[in-house]
Order: sequence, then structure tokens, then C-alpha cells
Amino acid sequence: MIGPRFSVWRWGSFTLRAPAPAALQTAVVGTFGVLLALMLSLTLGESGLSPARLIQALRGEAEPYEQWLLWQSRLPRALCALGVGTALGVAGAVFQSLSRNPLGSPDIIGINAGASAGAVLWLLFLPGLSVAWGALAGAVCVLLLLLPGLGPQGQLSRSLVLMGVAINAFAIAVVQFALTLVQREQAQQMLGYLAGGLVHRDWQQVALIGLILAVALPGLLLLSRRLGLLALGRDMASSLGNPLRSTQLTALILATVLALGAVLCAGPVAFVALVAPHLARRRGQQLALLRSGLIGALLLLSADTLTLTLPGTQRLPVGVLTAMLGGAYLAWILFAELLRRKTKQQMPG
Amino acid sequence: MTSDIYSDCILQGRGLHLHYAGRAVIAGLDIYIPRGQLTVVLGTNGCGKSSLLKILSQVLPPSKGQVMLDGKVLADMGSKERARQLALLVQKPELPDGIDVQELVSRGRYPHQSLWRQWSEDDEYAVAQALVATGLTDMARREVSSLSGGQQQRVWLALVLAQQTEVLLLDEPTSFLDIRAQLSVMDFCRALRLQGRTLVLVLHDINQALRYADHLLLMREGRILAQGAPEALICEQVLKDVFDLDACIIQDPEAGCPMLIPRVDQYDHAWGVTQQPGYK
Repeated sequence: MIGPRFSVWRWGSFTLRAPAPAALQTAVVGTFGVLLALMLSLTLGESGLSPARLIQALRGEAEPYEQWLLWQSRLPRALCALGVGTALGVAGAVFQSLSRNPLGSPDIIGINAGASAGAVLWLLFLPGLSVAWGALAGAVCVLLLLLPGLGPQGQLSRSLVLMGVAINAFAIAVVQFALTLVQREQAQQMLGYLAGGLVHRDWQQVALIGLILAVALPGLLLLSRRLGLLALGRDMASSLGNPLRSTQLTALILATVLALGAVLCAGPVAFVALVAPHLARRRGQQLALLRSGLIGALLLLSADTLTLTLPGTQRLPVGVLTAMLGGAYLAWILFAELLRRKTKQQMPG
Repeated sequence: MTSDIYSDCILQGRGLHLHYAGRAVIAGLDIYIPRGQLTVVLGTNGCGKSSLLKILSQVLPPSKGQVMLDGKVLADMGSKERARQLALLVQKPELPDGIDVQELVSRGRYPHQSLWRQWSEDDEYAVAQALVATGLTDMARREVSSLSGGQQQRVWLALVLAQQTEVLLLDEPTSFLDIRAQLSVMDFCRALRLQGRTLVLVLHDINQALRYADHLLLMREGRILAQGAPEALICEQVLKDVFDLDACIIQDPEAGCPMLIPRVDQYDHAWGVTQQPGYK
């Protein structure tokens, strides 16, 4: 045993090592958090079911309307929020670790803005088809534009992040331009989509995001030891025998798949991918990927519950709330840290 | 290149070139690192010393030429296999947030581990031994960022030590340390050499290099100007050629090795500052 932070299991030459206390804590907090958030999400709001009714509906003993409400509307919506939040949180953590930059999240480098622009142009020119495909096409276009900026070993360099910011600005301009071209009604439809939404999600979307998570998450967890080594800097990681190229490229592909899955299911949801890894890292490096996913899931589901609950926000897209909540919380944390550092500096000695 | 010292080289590079941003950082050099010796690389800023260490460890693949480690081509070795035989401590490794000494040192075991072998008894023993050797056992649970610069450098040395490699490449391991901590790092390196390991250090302090090195490599503009034992190599002309430095060489009164003393008043003109009359 190395000590209290890790537990080691040995069977002959087969050995496992895990940060057991942190894992236990994450599992317990995660389970309770998810259950609580799910409960709140299903019971609150105009069309929410009371806890007693909820249990009846779960058993299949409630009235057909409530049955339908739970199984075809509220539950898929909540599960979709959990799945999309997890995908965004994990993707954000991987992007930040690959770019060695706290701002290197999929929405900052332009994937969300690309999705928005794609969606708007799709609505403009192909209004018949599902807008999600337009969003996916836009996001993929941004990725293709960024591809030449990828380093030879698959690293997201600083100039790539800057390129993403530029593409971001351009895509937002495209969106604004498109909005001036259309009728008021259509503009409202577009605006609703642009902030990312979870209204009218069904099992199809749940299955999609579930499938994507089932593929990408285990892959990234297998890579997590290598990704952890990147925190020592690329040169140290490489000299310790981490094959940088395959590590970075594989992680990048898996994280991109997660980000695209999130876009496909919920549109461009802002800020979750940026905030979740920061909140996760505040309790150390251990299990940072998993915790970031968990925080993303809780953040998105809680924000969605709030849109259902707050007066006058039923039609508010969840992306607006995540940006408000996450942005305010992150700003507050960074501000508090800044203050603490300043008072520390002023202390004598 | 025919003296005895080169008959047993653990690491050698032939015809190495490195082009970076249109500039030749390493411009065609052959290098021989004698086994079991402490080699020091000296040269001005930007002469390619750090790049050379990265090439020798395959962190930076050379544009041309190849490196041989113990008779095998480095580029053909698996990355973990290579990392079990050769360690590099870069000049400015990044410190992850909130990591403690023991956890950071145990990262050095990565090349010995796999998905099925995450923490063997060898790993545990190597980390404990590295902590003892660097005098960090009592601080194993301390957060690395709370330690002094000298202590942090010992943690990084413990990390590459836990890697249990025969060859260690250290890029400026004494920079930014106070004189006591510098000497402690140098004594540590000498102790490793006495255990039979091969060390290659990049240093800036020429007098420390003269005192501790078995073998000196003098670089300028991506080339090796001269190499050999310090006593045989160092003379006023060589210092002039490598560093543009006017210095006289005396005997180190303590260790008996050569020691250089820069001459005064050689750089007044370099800053465009003319001497005021009456100043001196």
C-alpha cells in the first residue's frame, strides 16, 4: 500500500492501483447528486409529477396521460440532459488537457459557433430537414478548418486556439447576418435553437448520446493515465515513454466525437464544457475526467430543471441558463481566488 | 576521435541535423557519450544544448542523422523501452496543480507500468529508494508547490531516478537554485556516476563543470567545437572561441582542477556605454 490516497490490489504480476477514497467519494456524491437532480427534474415544473404520482407512473399504474408525460417527455429529456452534460464535461476536460490551456474547450475554439452557423444556414436554405444535421455540418466544417493547425504530434497549439477564436467570431457574424435576412417568426425559431435546447427530446436522442458515451468514455478512461502524464509538459511526458502522437490524436478524436454528439442532441449548449473541468480540478487531479463529466451532467440537468421551474422561463433554452449559472459561478470563484492571492501577497514576510 | 574514452560509448549520434523554423539549430554534429561518465555540455545561450538533449532522448526526432543507444537505433525502440534505459529532465517541467511529492515521483515509474501492471512491488521500492536518495522521505506527503526551489528540484531528480535508467540527461538542473542547492545537486550527480550511471548535464557555470565533469562537450551554433577531459581541453583560446570570453585560467585551490577567472573591463562597449572621464 502506498498510502491513504491510493489503494493497490495485487494478484501475482497483475496489479491495479486506484485513488480509492477519491473514487468512493465521487461515486457516492455522484449517485446521490444524479438521483436528486433527476427527482427534482421530474417532479418540478408545470408538467411535473408529484413524488407519489411519479412512483405510480414508474410502476405503470398512473393514468395514461401521466404515463406518457413521464416516459415520452420528462424522462428522455432529463436523461438527454445528463448524457449531453457528461459528454460536454469530459470533452472540455480533454480539450483543456490537450491544449494545455484553461480556455481550450470545444465551444471556445468554435465548434459551438460553427454548429450555430450551420443550423441557421440550414433553416434558411433547407427548412424541411432536421436542423440538427445542419448543426453537425457546421461543427464539422469548423473542425476541418482547424485541421491544418493541428501540430505534427496532434497537439492543440496556442495558435490553434487563437484560430478557433477567429473562426468563432466569423461564425457568429454569419449567424447575425442570417438573422437579419429572415422573417420574425423564423428568427425566433432560430434564436431558440441557437442557445441549445432540450425541449422535445425523445428516446432517439437518448440512445444517440448514450451510444456515443458508451464508445468514447471507456476509450478516454483507458487513456487517462497518459493524459495525466501530459500535465508534466509534453517533453517530460514524451521522455517518460508516452507516445505523444497516438495519445493526443486518439484523445482528440474521442473528445470531438463527444462534443459533436452533444451538438447533435442539444444544439450549441454554452459554457458547460468550459466550466465543468475547472470545477472538477478544484479537488485535485485524481479522476478529473470522470468528475468533470459528472459535474457537466449535474450542471446541465439542474439548469434544465430551472428553466422548467422559474416563472416565465419555460421557453428559455437551457443553454442560456448554463451560460448564466456557469459563467457567474466561474467568475465568482476566480474573483475569490484573486482576492485571496492578493491578501496573501500583502502579508509581510 | 580515436582516444580510448570513445571505445565504450553508451550513446552516440551521427550526422545529426535539426531544422526548426527555417533555422539549423543543430548543424551536422557527431556526438559520443562515454559509458559510466559524467559529461557536461557547455555553450552560449541558444547554441542548441537543450535541443541536443531532446534529440538524444528522441523527444525531438532529428531532421537528419540517427542516435544509437547501446548499439540500438533509438528511433526504432518502443517509447517505453527507451524510457526504461534513458531519462531526460527538461529545463522547465510543468508542475501539476495540487500534486504531492510521492505522487509526482511515482510518475517516473510510467515506463515500467502497463494497464495490467499498475503498481508492482518494484514500483513501490523504486519510489521509496528515490525518495531516500534525494532526502525527501519526510516530505513525501507535502504538496510540491509548497516546497522551496531547491527542494522542488530534488523532487524532479527523484522522479527521473525512480525511472531507474542507466542514462540520465539533465538540462540545467542547477539553474535558479542558490549556491548550496546547486552544489547539492552536483554532488548528487557525482554520486550517481559513482554508482556506474551515465550522466549528461547541460550547465552554465563553467567552474562547476570543470570541477565535476569527466568529459566536456563545448558547443557553438549547433556544432561541437571541442570535446575531451576538462584539464586537457580548457585553455584561454578555447574559452574565447566558445564564449567570446577573455578569461585567465588558474588552479582551483580547493579541488585542484582548472578554474576560470573572467578578465575585467571586456564588455564596456557591448552596451554602448562609454566610460566617463574620472570613472574607475
